Amino acid sequence: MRNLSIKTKIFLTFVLIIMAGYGFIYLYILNYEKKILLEKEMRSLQSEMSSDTKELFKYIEFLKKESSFMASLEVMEDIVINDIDRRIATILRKKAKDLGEEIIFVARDAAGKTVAASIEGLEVKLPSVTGETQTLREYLFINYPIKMGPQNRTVGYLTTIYPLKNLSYRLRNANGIYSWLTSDFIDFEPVKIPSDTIEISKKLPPPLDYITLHRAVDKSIAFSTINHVQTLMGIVFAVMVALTTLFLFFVSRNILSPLKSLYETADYIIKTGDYSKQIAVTSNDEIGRLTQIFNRLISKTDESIKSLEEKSKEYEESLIDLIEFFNTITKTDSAYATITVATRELKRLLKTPDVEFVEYPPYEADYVVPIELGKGKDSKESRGAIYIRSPQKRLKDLERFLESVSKMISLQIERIELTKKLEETLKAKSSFLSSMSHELKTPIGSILSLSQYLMSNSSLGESEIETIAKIERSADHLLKIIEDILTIAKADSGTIEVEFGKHEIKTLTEEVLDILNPVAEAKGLKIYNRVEKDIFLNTDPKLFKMVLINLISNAIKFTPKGDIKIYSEKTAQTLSLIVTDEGIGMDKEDVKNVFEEFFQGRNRKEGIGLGLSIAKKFAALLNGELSLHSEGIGKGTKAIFKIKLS
Amino acid sequence: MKKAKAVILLLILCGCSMAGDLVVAANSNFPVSSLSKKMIKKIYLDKIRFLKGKKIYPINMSGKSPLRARFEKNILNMPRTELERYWLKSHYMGHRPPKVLKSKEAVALFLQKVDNSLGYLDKTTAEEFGLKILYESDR
Repeated sequence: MRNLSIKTKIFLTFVLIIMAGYGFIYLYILNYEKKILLEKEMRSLQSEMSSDTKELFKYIEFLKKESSFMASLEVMEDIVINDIDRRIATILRKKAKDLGEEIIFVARDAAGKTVAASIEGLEVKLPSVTGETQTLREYLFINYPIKMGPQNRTVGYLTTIYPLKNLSYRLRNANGIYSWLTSDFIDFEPVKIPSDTIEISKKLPPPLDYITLHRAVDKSIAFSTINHVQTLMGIVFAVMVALTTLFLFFVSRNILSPLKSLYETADYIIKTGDYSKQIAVTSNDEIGRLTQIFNRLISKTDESIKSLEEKSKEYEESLIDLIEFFNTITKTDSAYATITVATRELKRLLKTPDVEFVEYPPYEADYVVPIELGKGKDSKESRGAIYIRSPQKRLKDLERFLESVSKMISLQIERIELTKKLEETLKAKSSFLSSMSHELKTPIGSILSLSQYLMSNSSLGESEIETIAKIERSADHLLKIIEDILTIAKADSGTIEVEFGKHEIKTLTEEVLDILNPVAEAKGLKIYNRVEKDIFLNTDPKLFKMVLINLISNAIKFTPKGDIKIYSEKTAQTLSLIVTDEGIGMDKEDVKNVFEEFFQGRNRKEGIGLGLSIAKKFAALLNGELSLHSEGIGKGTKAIFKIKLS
Repeated sequence: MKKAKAVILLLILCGCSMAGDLVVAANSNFPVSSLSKKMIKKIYLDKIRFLKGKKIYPINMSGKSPLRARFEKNILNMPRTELERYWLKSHYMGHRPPKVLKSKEAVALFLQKVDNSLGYLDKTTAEEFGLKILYESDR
């Protein structure tokens, strides 16, 4: 019931009401009306029956009259002369023929002897006359005396013999009403009677009291009015249901469909959040008013949502303002600029021109933004304050905001000053390193060239040359170290110039191998270049090659025996160059520290441990990164140079 | 049945004796022993209805009977048309013509059986049925 639509509910209600009404009338007619009708029918049958009875007796009366008339005829006097002229017989025959119905007339003389009859060879046994009418089984006898002459004496009797079975000719059977007679002695002509009838029966009055008269009426005819009413009711019921359906159609069009569009619109709004939708008002009734109110509710909601959106936009904007404010402050690179920008921005934010920086307080104002640099927990260095008068725009929690601004400015100035100091220190370090390297390189150059000159001088003995060669090697080593340090310093101070250009990777790799192959071959190692062809990379070829040289020479250095492979792996965002060897590998602990400056693993070799550090720095300059992997000592090393593709 | 046979026998015997004397006869109980022609006429015209206090009962014969023609000619002395006119006129005064029987045998039998009735017959038949002859035409 809960899930049925209003339409169905109304329909069911109407049908139930109609059915209840009709059911009541139907039952009423079926029970009460039928009873009344039955009684009425019985009464009518009774009265018809008595009229039937009258009809029967009227006929008998008629026969009596006929007989009486016949008996009174003068010709009947011929009875005294035994009807020798056969005049009685003639007249009787004629009359019997006229009346038909197998009626027999018999003229008897006073002694009871039959003198004349309407038929030849009379078979009926005549009872002696006892009265005007007599019955004997299937016959009715009507006796009239034949009187005659001057003395008016009875000279005989005229007897009319009527076969009682012909009484049924007097009864009419028509239109579903049936009358018939029954008797134990008489074979009445049977009447075909339908099975479903209302029937009454009655004994006829004397002398026919051994005959029963029946009368029946066909029930379908008796109750035809009820049947008519029932048919009518069926038609009316169908019409009512049709009218109800029509009414419901009207209702659904005028009431339910507006309601439907109401909840459909509500559903639409809930699903889409589109509050601009309105429903057409089609009527002025309750539904129409509901629709109007619904529309107003929607537009009100729309308005409030819009104003909320505007407000949130405002908040957003002020938030952006604040962020911008802080952003501009952080971008400043001097204390003066910081304070100037802060003052300007505060004027803009608070919409007042009365914002002023004063180096030495006190100064009268509504709000004060002090600028204090913390040098420690207790001591603070005041750098003045920004004074604000009558701000136009009221920010919520203005005091807290200004406090943050104060902290912000102070921190920014502090940061700027700190950075400056740091930069200066770094510059000093770099210039120190480079100048020192230069200073060192010059004498080493002299040592090298002079020792080479000495070695080429053949006047020296074997041991001297050996010594000079040692000096030369040491100087060379020292030069390399100094150059490495210089490179590191350059990388740190950002003075390495990077020149990007499009280059094919395989070619670059080949160039590297051209340099390194002799070293490897000297050690009996083989290097396989498996880098894919036609990969172009935006990179600095010099630095790129230096990274690769570092990685491959490391592999050569730490591989006593075996192969070295170089190959590439490309993804959508990155290109990896991978160098694997079958060398001594690394301890897992060492892998962590391998890129540290001056780090050398447990397997110390020549060098001071700057190579990988430099390579890593170069890789970073080329938008790449380096990583080393090893499964452990004696299990080889895998170096990956991964470059971001942009 | 015996009587019926006798009647049939008589009919055969007397059928041919048409000619013969016309007599007016009655049974023996008739109140008078003879009637004049005039009296007979009056009785047959319903002018006399009682004789000696007894209602008398004249019997006529059917119109085609030759006896009736003779009777009307000789005794009533009236032609058929005049008779018809007479009865038509008398009818309004309550008079009815005499009872008619068909055959002379029927008349004879009737006269024999019914007292105070009289009728005309040929003499032979009257004598045959043992009737008392009240009048005999002298031709």
